[in-house]
Amino acid sequence: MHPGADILGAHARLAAIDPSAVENPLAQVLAALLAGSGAARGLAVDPSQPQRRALQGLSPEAAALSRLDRFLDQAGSGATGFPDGLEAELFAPAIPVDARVVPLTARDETLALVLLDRPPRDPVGFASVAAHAASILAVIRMSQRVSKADFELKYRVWELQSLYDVGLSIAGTLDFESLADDILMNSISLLNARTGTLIVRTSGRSVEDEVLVKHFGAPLAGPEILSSLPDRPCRWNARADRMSALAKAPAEKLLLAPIVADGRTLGVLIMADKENRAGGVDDFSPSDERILSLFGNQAAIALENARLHREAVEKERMEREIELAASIQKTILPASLPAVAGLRLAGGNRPTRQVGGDYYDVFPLPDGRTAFCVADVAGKGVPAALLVSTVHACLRILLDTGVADLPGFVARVHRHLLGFSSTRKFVTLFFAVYDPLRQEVRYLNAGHNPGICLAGGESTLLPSGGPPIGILPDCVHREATVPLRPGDTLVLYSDGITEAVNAADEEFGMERLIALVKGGQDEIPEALSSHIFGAVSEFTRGVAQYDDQTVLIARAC
Amino acid sequence: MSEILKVTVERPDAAVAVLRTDGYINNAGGEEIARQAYALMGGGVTRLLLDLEKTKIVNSIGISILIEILEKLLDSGGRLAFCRLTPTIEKTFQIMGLAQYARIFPAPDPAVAWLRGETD
Repeated sequence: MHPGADILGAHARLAAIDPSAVENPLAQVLAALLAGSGAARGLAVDPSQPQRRALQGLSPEAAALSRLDRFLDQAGSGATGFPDGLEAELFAPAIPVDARVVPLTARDETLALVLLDRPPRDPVGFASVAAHAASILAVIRMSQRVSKADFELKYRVWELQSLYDVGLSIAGTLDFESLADDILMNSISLLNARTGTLIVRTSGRSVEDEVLVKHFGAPLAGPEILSSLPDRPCRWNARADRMSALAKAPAEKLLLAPIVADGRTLGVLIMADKENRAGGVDDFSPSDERILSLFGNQAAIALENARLHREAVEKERMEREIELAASIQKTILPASLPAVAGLRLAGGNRPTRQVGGDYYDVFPLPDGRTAFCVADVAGKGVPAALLVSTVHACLRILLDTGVADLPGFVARVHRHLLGFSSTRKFVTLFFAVYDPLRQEVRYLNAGHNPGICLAGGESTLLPSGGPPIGILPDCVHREATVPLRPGDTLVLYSDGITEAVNAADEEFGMERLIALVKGGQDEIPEALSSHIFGAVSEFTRGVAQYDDQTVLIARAC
Repeated sequence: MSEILKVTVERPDAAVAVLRTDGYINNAGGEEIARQAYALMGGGVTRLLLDLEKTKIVNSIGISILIEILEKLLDSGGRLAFCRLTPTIEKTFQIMGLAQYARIFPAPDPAVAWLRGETD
């Protein structure tokens, strides 16, 4: 055949190659170059990917191919020929006398090395075939690079989308465990890691906190790593460099990012072995470190949200509890004071919290006498309110046992409270019984503030006759009697009145209270009660108070 | 879910194969899917359904292998469908371009019907 026909045939073969559909065109390129040169045997290889090669009419030994691989691994895409003797090894045992190497190049890059068993019959025509082949290989190489760049661009979009999605999940759920799964899986996925571990303290307060541990694949570490975490991301691409807690982690390479919330290291994300397409593992890069840190930050935000949510739920629960206790206490404190023979009564209670520890009550007795009291239980809030409820129930029930013996009556209440109170709570109690016939008040003051008896413009303090009840198993209380004639006033109160403080930390005090009581001797009890509460408010001027305030006024009439 | 992928193959009919995966579609997982897919294609099957119900995680190497399988199927005039993807994996496939040339279905039955050409 005329060489010109060979050249045309070779161009036709090359023109039939679809660059967009062929991944490895070397076999087709070699066939075209053999046809165009008139050679019978040959080899084509991509120096940048030595495993990509085509052979026709020769079957070299494995040792020759290994030597070719080693040479191209070193020379790369800059290779333009073969080292001495390699051509003969590749053609052996039928070694040609005049073999030729034709590099197919574009822009100083060797796209293929073609080995032919003879020089081309038409060098000029063959040069055009080689140029045609090089242009096809360049188009395919460019297409592959564009495809790779496209994949990498999409991968970056995926990376951003994953971070965005985790952020959305954080905003949309307070289930930290499922978020932890998302964060671990997204980290492994985006970093091409083989396995991963997430370990985090979920309550964030102390080393005894609950620890959440998530593994994908073989565990890389246990909760003990939390005691020795670095405060910044770390890459260990060599085993020897690892921190001791990860010395036995079953992986070649590790990447770690601490989870830091509010300046405290609460946990850790660990990735193992970034895999590559060849089946091996690559080093973790600074970019990987950045990605894992971002996921660590997301985990920290999720943890903080979960903690705030837990606190909000707890606060809400406590508020509901307090509201319930307050509604119960409202039924315990008298809504209005009864009209009783010989006395005009007024009083009120101002708790500092929604439920308090003060109690007052009035009990008309069947024989025409009237019992009344003010009590103050130790503590505040719901526990104090529960004790108030017990005191109220005790007094109501035990009144039926009679109050002729006031110390005996209070002793019965005391014994009951001793059995009830397991938390060393105690109660101060001022319990009084007014006898309209005798125009006197018998009273027992168990550790309470002294009552103020105002008679003829003079005040008398009614002191304590024993310790508070409900705390000391063996205690004795004394009762006392004070006259209460028409116009005389008895004022009972809790320490929240006398110990109310202003901005200068001064107490309202007994002197101010006694002065108010004396100044109000012509006021009706309701007005005096309002006057006392008003004076305390004016004194404290909005300063938060720590004690409930209670006043009970009894004026003989 | 394991990091080691398992693949089971079901043949609803001679033209269609369903590959059910369980585990991580990474390099090893993707290679296993490719091995099974290419064996089926070698036997003349050109319509494949990948049922990923038990796969919760993929990485970019696994995706690149799935793209290779897709390209080979398209070159031979075949079709590839996915079903029962997690929302995260479905979004990933959309971003990475797999959904441009393969169809995603919520369940196996409509996917098989599409592969058979019974639906558009």
